[in-house]
Parts: sequence; structure tokens; C-alpha cells
Amino acid sequence: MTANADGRSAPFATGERLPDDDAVYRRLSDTGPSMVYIDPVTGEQRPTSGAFKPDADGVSVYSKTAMATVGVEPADLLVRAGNVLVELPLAGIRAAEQALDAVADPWPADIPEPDHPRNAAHALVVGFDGLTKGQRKRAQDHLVRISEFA
Amino acid sequence: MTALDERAVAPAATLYPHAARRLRADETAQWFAVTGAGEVRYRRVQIALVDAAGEVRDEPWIRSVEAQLNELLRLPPGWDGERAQAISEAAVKAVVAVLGEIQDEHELPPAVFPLPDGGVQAEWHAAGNDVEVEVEGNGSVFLFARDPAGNVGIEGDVMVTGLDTATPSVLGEDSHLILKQTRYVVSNITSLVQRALRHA
Repeated sequence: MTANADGRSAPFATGERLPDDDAVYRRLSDTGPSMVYIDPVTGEQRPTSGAFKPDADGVSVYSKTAMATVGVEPADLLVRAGNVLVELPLAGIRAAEQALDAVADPWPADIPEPDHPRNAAHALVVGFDGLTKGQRKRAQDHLVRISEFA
Repeated sequence: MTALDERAVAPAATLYPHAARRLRADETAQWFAVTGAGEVRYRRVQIALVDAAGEVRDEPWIRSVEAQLNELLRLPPGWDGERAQAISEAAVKAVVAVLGEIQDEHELPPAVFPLPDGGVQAEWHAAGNDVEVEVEGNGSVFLFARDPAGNVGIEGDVMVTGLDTATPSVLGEDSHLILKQTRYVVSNITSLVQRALRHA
């Protein structure tokens, strides 16, 4: 465990690369609003690539390894009825041709319930800076394809 | 380019009877208007599609898109459990302007999703074919389409003008060309879905 600037501890330090054998969870809002598309031909469900559109920091996720360390369950990531989770392996993220990565970002500011223990496991998928829109869309598309509903 | 005429629409046809009439640049010549403002929980949009003869046309895709957009317009800030912004009026207007150029009467309506920056994304996916219209919160539009082999066939910006009016429209030859290509792909996806439904 490491301590960050305000003294709160977390399994990984801010900016630390997550282990190769880790995986991350991304929370999708399913009902109201849905972020899941159902293929009308195959019936398969897939998250919309919009669920992986990065903000200025990256794409917000939670480290599975860090969650285990602090005793947070996947259910603790669900903040409202209808939320669903998708899981993305780090190896898959790092296989993106756009050089995506995932780094720890414990205790992010300006979010609801900032003191919830799940925030010790917060992380970011990064690597979107400097990409063209097309490259960024391909990166999002890659994340859709490696994600599995948890 | 696309504003060939301006005429009041019958008040019963739209919530915004003073909206200008516009004709599309292509032969189908349809018009649509989109408006909506105010507090998030009260915001609604109504889309009117008027043909070249000035008749309001009620096509299934319009009702589908309108219903989806009205759901999204009610989302409060933070709808993603984090820092997402409320859906912007500019994004709604831009996506309607683009869909007005892609959709025909019998084509599959897209699914429309919110984006955390206040934008929206309209998508069609079927059997590995993907089309996405990404509209950012400021109304800028990007088209992306991929075939089942993973080849990106369409990729580019689409310019939409008039986002501060009730009649936004697509601007520029490059934009119209991208939308023409997109319409072809959406038409193919619609055919795939119709065949699958017939065999089901």
C-alpha cells in the first residue's frame, strides 16, 4: 500500500502502471441511459464505443487487483440501478495499436462519494493524448472488442 | 447550399411554427427542424420532416430518434456516476441534421447513446458492420464505419451549420460525400437486419 498526498492509502501510487496480469472494470450505465447495443442480427450485446470516450484524464476504470487488496467487490462499483460492468484485461488494453495503457489514479476528486473505498482502486486507461479523432475512435473500438460483461 | 426556401410550417406540425423550411441538397428534398431548451428535466425536442411539397411526413425513424433524444435530454449532469455533462442542444441539433441526410423511410433507426461531454452517438451494428455518428457536446460531428473484416471504410468530419437555429444543416461537399457513403452502409445494414428477421 502507498500513501498519496492527503495521506490516504491505496494499493498503487498515482500514475503507477497496473500489472500486466491485472484487469480493469468499466462501469456502464445500462438502464437510464443504456450504454449497451443489441445486435439485431446476432442478438449479441456490446457496449457502445461511447462508453470508452476519454475525458481529459482518460477513461475511468477500477483495477481488479487493487479491489482485491482493499476488499472491494465488483458490486461495490455499481452506483445506481441498472449499472453493469465490463472487464478488460490489461494485456488487451496494451495490445492496442494506439499504445494505450492503464495507470493507477486512486482517490480522484470531484466525483460522487469521493470517500468510498472503491476509489482506492480507481485507475485510468490512458494514451489518447495526441491521437486524431480517427485513431481515438479506433482505440475506443478496440476497447469495445476486448471487453466482456462481468 | 441547402436553404432553398423559407416558409412557415403549419403550427400543428411542430412545436415551433416559425421554424424555417429547408430543402436538402439532394433529390429527396426533405426538411426537418429541431429545437429544445430550458432546464434539463423539462427539455424536449420535436423533429418535423417536411417533403418538397411542404407536407409533414411521419417516418418511423423520426419517432424512434425523437423518443431516444428526449430520454437523453432529461439526463442530469453526472448521469454516468461521475462527471458527465447534460446533453447539449447543439449535439441534438447536429445529430438530427446528420440523420436527416442518412435516413430514408424504411431504414433501420439508429440507437442513440449519451456521451460524457454532453454529446450523443448514433449507431448501427449488424453482423460485424458498424456505423457510428459521434457528435460532441459542441456539435462537432465525426463519422466512423467499419466492415466485418475490420476495415475502416468511412472516417471523417461532417460540418453542420445553423446550430443556433431550428434548422441546422450539413455543409460542404466533403460532408455530403461522407454522408452519401454512410447512407449506403446503413442501407446495407438495414437489408441484413430485414433478412435476419424474415428468417427468424
